[in-house]
Amino acid sequence: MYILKNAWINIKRNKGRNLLIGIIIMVITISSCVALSINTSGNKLIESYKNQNQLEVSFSLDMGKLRDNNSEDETMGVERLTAENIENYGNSTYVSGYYYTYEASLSSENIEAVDMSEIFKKPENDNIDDKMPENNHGKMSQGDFRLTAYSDVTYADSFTSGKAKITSGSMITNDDESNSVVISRDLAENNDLEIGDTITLYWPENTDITYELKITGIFEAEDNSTDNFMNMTALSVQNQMYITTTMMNQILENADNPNNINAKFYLKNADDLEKFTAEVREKGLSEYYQVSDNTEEILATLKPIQNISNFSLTFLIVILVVGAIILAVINMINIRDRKYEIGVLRSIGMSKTKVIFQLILELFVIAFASFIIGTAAGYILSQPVTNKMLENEINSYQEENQQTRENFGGKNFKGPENFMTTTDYIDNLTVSLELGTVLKLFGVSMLLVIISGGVAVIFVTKYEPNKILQNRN
Amino acid sequence: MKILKLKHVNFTYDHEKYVLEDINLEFKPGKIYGVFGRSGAGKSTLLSLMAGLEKCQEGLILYNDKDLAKMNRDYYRCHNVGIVFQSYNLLPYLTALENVVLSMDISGLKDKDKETKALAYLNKVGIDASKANRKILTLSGGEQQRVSIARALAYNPEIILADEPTGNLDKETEAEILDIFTTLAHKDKKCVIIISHSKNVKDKVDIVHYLKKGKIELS
Repeated sequence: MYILKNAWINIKRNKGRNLLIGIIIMVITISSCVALSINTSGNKLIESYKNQNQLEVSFSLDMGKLRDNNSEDETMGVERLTAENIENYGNSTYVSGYYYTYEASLSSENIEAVDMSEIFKKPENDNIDDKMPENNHGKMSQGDFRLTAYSDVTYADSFTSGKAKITSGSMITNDDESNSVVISRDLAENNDLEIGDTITLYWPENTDITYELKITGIFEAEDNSTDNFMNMTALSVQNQMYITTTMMNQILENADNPNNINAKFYLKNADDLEKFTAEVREKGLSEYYQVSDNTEEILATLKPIQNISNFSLTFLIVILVVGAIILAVINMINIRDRKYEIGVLRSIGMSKTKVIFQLILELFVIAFASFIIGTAAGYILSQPVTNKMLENEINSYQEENQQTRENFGGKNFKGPENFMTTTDYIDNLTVSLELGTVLKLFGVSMLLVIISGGVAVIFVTKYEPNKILQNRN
Repeated sequence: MKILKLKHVNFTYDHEKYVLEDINLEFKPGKIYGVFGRSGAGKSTLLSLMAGLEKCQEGLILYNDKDLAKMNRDYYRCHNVGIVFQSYNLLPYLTALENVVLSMDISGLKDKDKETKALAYLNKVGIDASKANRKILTLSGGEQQRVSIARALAYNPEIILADEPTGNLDKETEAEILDIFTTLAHKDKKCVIIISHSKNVKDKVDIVHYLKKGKIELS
C-alpha cells in the first residue's frame, strides 16, 4: 500500500517529466489505435469478402513442370482427369459444392453457324477469306459449334452471372432426355429453329457418325464478341450449345482426341485450401496438375483496403519501436535523476524488488491514464484517418490507371477484362473499435511499461545503495 | 550478551589493498561506542559492513550470533539496525513525519496509528508537531539530523549506527544530538555505535575504538 502511496507522490511531484512520458505514450496509443482499428477492420472486410465469395478451386496443367520433366523422361504421360476422379475429390469434408464440364467442338450440315464476320462491313480489297481455309464442313478439326455439358447445370456461369437467360423452353438438366440441347436465339432465328426441332451434328474430322439432338430450350446471351479472338465461329456465344453429360459421353466416345474436362470446387472455408490440396494429392491428383484458386480475383476490388491495412501494420511496428526507444531513454534519464532517492530507500531497507515495483507502478499509472485518453482519441480519429488514407490510395490507383490509358493512346482504351476502374474499388471502410483491439492496445501500453521499466530494473540491480550515497556525499 | 560481533573481518575494494584488516570487535546493548580515526582509516567502510550496506568478504559479522552474510540484509536494515548518516539521507520531497512513517512502512510495521507513533519519536528527538509537517529542506541541519535519528528509531531497532552524525552541526547542536544518543543507549538500552573523529563525541561515549590504516588499535 505504501508503495502505491509513494508512487502517487512521485507522479505528482514530477509533473513535467511524467506529463512528457504520458504524452509520448498517448501519441503511441492513438497511432496504435488508428493502425490496429484499420488493420482489424480491413482484415475483417477481406475475410467477409472471402466468406461471401466462396473460394473456387480448379486444377490446371503445370506446364513448367511438364517441360522440365519431359526433357528428362520422354515416356512421361500425365493421367487425365476423369469424372470419377473429380467426384472422388469433390467428396471431401472441405468442399461445399463442385461441378465439372465437358466441352466439344462439332459441326452441322443442316444448320448454319452464326458467322460474326458477316455482321461487320468488310474493307475494300479484302481477300483474306479467299486465302484462309474454310472453317466449315469439316476441313478444319475445329467445329462450328461449342457444346458444353455441366455435371450440375446450376453452376452454368453465363446464367448465374446474368449474362444469359432462357427465353423459350427450359435450361438443360441431366434428368432431361439424353439428346436434349439448348441453343442461342440468334442461331435459332438464323436457321428457323424452334423448340422440338432436331439438329444433326458431327465431328469435323469424322463425318460418318452423326448425333441427333432435340431442341428443348433457347437462350439469349450478351454479345461477347470482344472476347472472340479472330472471330472464331465456335467461340461465339451465339454458337454455344448446352447438352446433357450422357449425350456428351456418347459424343466423346468417338473423339480422336477427347476434349478436356474442367472441374471447379467450392470450399466451405477459404482457410482449408491447403488441407484440401493435401487431400486431393493423397487421393491421386497428379503432381503435374497445379491447384489454383480465385483469391486474387475475389480481393481485386479490395486492393486499396489491403494496402492501407498492411501499411497500418508496418506503421504500428515502426511507431512501437521508435516509441519504446524514446521512452527507454527518457526513463533512463529519469532513473539517473532519482539515483539518490533509490539509494536512500535501499539504505533504509527497501528491497530491490520493491523499488523496481514502485518505479514500474508509477509508469503503469501514467501509461494507464494515457491509454484511456489515447484510446478515446484514437477511436475518434480512426474513421477520418481511414477515409483520408483510402481516398489517397484510390487516387493513386486512379492516376496509375490514367497513366496506363495514356500509354495506350487515351480514353478509348478500356483495358483487359480484369482491368479495374476506380469505381470498382471498395471506397468505404467502416472502422470500429472492438474489445480485441482495446485489449491489444492495453497490451501495447503494458509492453511500453515493461520496456521502459526494464531500464529501472537494470539500474536498480546494478547499483548498491552504499555506492549511490557515497558518490552523492 | 554481545549483540554484534566482528571476527577477523577483512575488506578490500580493489582486491589489492585491504581497507580493513583483521577487525575483531564486540558490541553490547546499553552502551555507546565510538570508533575514531583519521580520514581514510576505514571508519565508514566498517559502518557499511555493520549496517549490511556492504557484504563481508572475509571473516564473520554476527548479529545475535547469526552470520550477517547469510541473512537478508534488506530485512536486517529495516528491522535490526537503524542508520544515521552524516548527510542525513532523508527524502526531500516528504515531510519529516512522512520520512519517519515511510521507514515504518518499509519495515512492515502493522501499527494502526503510525503517524502518532512517528510524531512521538520526533518529539523525543526534539521535533514538534509544526516542524514534523514541514518538508525536509525547510528544516535546519540539526533538525534534519534529529529527523534522521527519529527515522532510525521508527521500527525500534536494537542497534543504532551513526556515521559522523554531528559532522555538519555546530557545537551546541552537536551536544544536543549526543545527548539523544546517550539517552538511547543508557535509558532505552540500545547499542549505539558512532563513527566520528570529533573530540566531543569521544568524551560522551562509553567505549572507544581507534582505527588506524584499517586496523584496530588498542585504546
